Amino acid sequence: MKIKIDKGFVTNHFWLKVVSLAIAIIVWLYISGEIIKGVRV
Amino acid sequence: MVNLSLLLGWKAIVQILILWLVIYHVFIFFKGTKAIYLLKGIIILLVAFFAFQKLGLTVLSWLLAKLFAFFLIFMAIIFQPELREGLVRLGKGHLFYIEAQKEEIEKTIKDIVSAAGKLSRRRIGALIAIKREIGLKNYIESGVNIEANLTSELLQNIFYPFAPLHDGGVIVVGSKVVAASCLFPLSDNSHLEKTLGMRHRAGVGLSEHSDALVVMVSEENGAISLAINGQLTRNLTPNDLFTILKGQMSKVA
Repeated sequence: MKIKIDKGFVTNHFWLKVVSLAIAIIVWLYISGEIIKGVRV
Repeated sequence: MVNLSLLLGWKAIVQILILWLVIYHVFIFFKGTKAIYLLKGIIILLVAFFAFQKLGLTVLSWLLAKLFAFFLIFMAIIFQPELREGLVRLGKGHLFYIEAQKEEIEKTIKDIVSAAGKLSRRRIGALIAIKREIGLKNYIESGVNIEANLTSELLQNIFYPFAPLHDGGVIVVGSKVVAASCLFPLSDNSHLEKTLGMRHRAGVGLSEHSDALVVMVSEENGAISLAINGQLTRNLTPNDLFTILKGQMSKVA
């Protein structure tokens, strides 16, 4: 059985996906940092 | 600093993935609309806010934080139509899919191909853009709003040489002709043949600025062309056009 991977899944709006991932990671890091700070206080 | 165990946990990965998905779809939703400039503005303000905080510029970060509250209210008022559309799509469960269903897509393609074939035989020029993921609101607003069910006859009627809306392009979203007589950006690609007219340059231009599929019929020789991502394929038969359009549309369905 052949598994067909659609290249477009990765290549369509590639930079938009990269930028969104970067923003998601930054937001998560910032918010979890804030939460940890809050817990320690 | 962020605790390392938090970084490696599965919960963290799930949360980042969901955040990624939401942010990506917000970008896709706003791309091609005027709201994308607002989104860029918000990102710049956020970066400035975090930078002010890190640098300890308390007055500026306090001012920005207060401004954000007003900014959010303004945003809700100015972009009320877009927000409403987004919520309606979320409610319908279509936020992560294109609006049209598969059978709808096939009917749309058949109608477009049929119209292109008939217009080609009569040597009537046509320019039809099919929206995929990226919004085309800017271009829709440049034309005349129609919001009619798509049929081959309607398309032929629009492009009939003496019809008031025959100049410019038609935009198809799902199974609707949303606007006609729309202005598309001209391509400045120097590799395009010099013999190509404005219609073809506009078609290629739109496909460079968005992921829309643009079908063109030449009024000089009746040739059918298709522009995808800035690439122009010329002299297509209606059968070729149907096969390519179906293949391209099924990628996003």
